[in-house]
Amino acid sequence: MRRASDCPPLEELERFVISALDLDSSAWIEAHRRGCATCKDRLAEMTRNHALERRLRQTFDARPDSQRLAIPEFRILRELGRGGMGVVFEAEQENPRRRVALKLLRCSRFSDERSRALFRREIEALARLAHPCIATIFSSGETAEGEPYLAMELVAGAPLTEHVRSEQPDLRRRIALFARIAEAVQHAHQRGVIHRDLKPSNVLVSAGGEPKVLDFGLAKILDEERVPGESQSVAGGLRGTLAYMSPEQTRGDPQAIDARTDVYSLGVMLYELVSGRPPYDVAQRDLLAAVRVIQESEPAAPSRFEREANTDLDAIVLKALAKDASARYSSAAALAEDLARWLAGDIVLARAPSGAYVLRKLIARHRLAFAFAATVVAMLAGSATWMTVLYKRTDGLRIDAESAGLLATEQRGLAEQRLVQQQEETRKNYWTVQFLSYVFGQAQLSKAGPKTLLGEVVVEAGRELDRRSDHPPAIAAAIGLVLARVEASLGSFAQAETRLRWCIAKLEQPGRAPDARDADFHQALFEVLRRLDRLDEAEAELSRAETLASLPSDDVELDRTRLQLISDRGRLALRRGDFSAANSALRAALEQQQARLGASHEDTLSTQTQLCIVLQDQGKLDEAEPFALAALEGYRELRGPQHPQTLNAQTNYAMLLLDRGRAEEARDLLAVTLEAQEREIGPEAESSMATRNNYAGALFRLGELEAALEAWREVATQQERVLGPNSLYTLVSRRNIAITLVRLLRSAEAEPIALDVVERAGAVFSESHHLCVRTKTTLGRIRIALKRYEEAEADLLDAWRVLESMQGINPAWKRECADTLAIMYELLQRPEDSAIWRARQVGEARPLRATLGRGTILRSPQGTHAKP
Amino acid sequence: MSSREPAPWVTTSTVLQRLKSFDDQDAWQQFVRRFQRPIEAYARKRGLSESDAEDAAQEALAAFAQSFRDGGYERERGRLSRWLFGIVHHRIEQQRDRMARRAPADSVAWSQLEDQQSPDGVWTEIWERSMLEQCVAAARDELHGTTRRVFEMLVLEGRSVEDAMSETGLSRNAVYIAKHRALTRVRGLLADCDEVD
Ligand SMILES: [Zn+2]
Repeated sequence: MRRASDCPPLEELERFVISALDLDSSAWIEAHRRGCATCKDRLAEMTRNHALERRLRQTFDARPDSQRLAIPEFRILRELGRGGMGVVFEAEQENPRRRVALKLLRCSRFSDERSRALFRREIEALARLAHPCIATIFSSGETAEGEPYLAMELVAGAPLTEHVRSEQPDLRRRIALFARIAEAVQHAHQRGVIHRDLKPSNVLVSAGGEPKVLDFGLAKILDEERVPGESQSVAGGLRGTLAYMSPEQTRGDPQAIDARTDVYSLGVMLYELVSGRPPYDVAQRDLLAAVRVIQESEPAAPSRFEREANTDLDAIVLKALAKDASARYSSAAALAEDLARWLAGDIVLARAPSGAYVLRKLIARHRLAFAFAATVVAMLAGSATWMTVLYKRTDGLRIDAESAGLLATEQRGLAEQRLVQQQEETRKNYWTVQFLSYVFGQAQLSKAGPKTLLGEVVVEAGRELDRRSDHPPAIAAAIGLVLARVEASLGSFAQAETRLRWCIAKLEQPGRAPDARDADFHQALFEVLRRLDRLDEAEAELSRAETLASLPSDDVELDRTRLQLISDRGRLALRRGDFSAANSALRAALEQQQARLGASHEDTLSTQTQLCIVLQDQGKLDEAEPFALAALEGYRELRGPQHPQTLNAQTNYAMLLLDRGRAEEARDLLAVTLEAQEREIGPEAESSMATRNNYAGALFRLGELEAALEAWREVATQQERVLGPNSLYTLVSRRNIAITLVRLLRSAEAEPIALDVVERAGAVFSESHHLCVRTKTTLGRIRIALKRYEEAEADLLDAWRVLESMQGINPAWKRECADTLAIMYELLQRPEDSAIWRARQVGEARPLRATLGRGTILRSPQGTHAKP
Repeated sequence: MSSREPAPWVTTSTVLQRLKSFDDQDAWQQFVRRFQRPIEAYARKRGLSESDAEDAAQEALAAFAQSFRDGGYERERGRLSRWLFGIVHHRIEQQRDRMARRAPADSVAWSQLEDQQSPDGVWTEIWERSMLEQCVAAARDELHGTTRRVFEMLVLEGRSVEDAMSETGLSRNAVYIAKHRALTRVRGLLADCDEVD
């Protein structure tokens, strides 16, 4: 028996600290400590030292993990593999004695909660599953260093691809093997676990030919709580390995991920197993191009590469690979069953698509054509009806074949029938028209494809309108307004302008008193002129619209117009670069729109978007963020995830991410947005070009300057063609080109571009427009680089004078100018002057070398509102 | 591991106090030597080029020194590392915004676990590692003979107590005493890095 007065040796005390003593000895030391101040202090000291020792070991111990790691019960034998998230060892478990695969999360104790949460999720996912083709989990815990681990069944086997290469099984065997994999995936699905990262390297095939699905590290568990941060990330979709990702995964919509996502990945594996090649070659492409391939191209039939395959098998593989999740097998089991039928020589279900599916596909393919035909008919019929309401000519409704003569013969009956109905009915039609003009206004139809058809219809309708000079003027004008809005939505601003002026002339005929609803014509003209950057003329129209809208009227819709006009003031100010005015007008409009129209009304959302852009330009990112998110969520809710306006909001949110320095996220979100825009509205729509410009901005921020330059050149050429050389957006892109050239040390090339932008921006907007001023700063930098200091000084001082007088601008714009001046004087060895300019940088330590301000990055424009 | 020539450890408090007298170049050197590397490492991690990182570290330290002279740092406001982080982070984000240089990202596989660490976590990790390295180096410089060797063998090389006994000829208990003496010293140095009186 030990005497209580004997102090234990240090070794024993240390083993007590690390809990490595048996219970009796521990109890004895516990008792001794109470009576011995020396040992009490020693223990306290050793406890702290032990924590440090662990940290030092972690930091400095150069031995391999297998020697360093001490996990009770397991003896590490060798490393099996290592990836971004962890290491897998082969280890021996003591009890029961067996070989296991030990997976360790490589995280220091500093790594954030998220990595651990994901690792815990993998453990939870595996714990739910018990299937011969899924590696079984044995236990999990933490190492002495606090790294979480899990021990699972050790699978001795080769990755699927390797197995097929070495064993050369025939097609039927490969299919049978694959069917087992699909069954295992089905088992996981039935327990609410979606794998999300199925690929051949995650399937090992044992020597006995049994496949084992591994690595649930990216799994989604359907009924569990979210891992923090997962769904907040809007861009967050691109996980897993691109080649096996489903179109919905590449779109980054976490809501769209379900069991059919795994069915798709299985489809890619099946394709490879059948044909010996991947369905798409995405390895050599950049991210954007690869995503596009996955979302758009149709793979070649696998039977082209494998003699034994036939069209039935083709049908199965391609059904699993369908772009649209609803066209795929609804479960992994359904896929496995169809494969079993094929193996048995039965008729496969993939060959018998349902009628609904065929119809859906047909409509999808001809969606735009269907929509145009339907809306053109209804719009032309309805707009005349609408005017009768508008101009209170419901009495008599003397609209006969003359006004209907505008319509094609087959629609005339429909039109006439509607026109003679009672006031209540016409009211209903009014709403129809409102809806239809919305469709045209919002669709932002591109210059390609069926749009040409629509353009022709509009032109034809316009000609007809001109021919019918005996048409009642108000009705002619109203039809003209609809046509003009369609033209504006097609980007034909010049035609829209001519048309609107013609309409206004019709309305202003002697003897007709101005009506409050005439405001719509001036508002539409304002919007067209604003887009054409003829801002003084635009402002005149806006004022006229405001005057008209203030006339007394009992039309309830007028309220909306009035609020929109407040918002329009803000838009105009934004285009002029007057951020303070834009900010206050938009806030005023937003407040009223929220109160009177509701938070999720499209006008409210649109104003919110504009306000967000203003705040970003003012450098107030914290204030901008809630508006950006609210607008994005609002549009998603209101219009769905692929709607042009939702996509605009998405671009704007990406710009906020970019301003926040989250360039990679921004780039990815812009890539998927652009892909969707090009599909939905065409590559030459204003919004698509804006997103492409912004995508280049993200590349720029990521340091991929050559790629950014090329992208900007492409988009500038396109903008010049579509929007004209004097459009704000064209000029912005060209300024970005100049900045990128400077960064690439090609200032001589940059100079003429910057000079031209300064001149055009000065002439189109004003000498004090931010684009003009900031480009002048750029020009100054270029001339410093070219060692033409006198010109540079003139440019920069000129820019500074204007910047100083501007209200509510982003402080960074002043800083970039002052910075440049300070650097220039330093180069000219005029330290006193340099110091003066440095002093202008409020709260800034001195920068040590010339740096370049980031490029102006274009935001997505909002679509013209086609309001009746 | 640092291989710098032995230099007596001057407490951070002392360095900072001496920094208050404007022309103490020696104190400035000490100060820069102690804190430059973690800032640079952090800047590199946040995507700055080597020379930009160097600039950012110089600027941040200058800003810190200025603010310390002006009495901006009070012990009550927290640890030195947190305070420095505030300045460093601000500088680097500005620099990042201006320079915007980063290596192109891998375009195929997008792992969930990458790039998820907060700037704060990155900084803490770098700071702690850098301070550990410096303190271990300083402790090794201070320790002598068998104590130093025991420390190296047990803590840095991961060798066993038995190995240390046979190499140094010390008793088992003496090996433990030497190890803990060294560890206690490193702890003292570490506390000094981050706590200023
Ligand atoms: Zn004792």
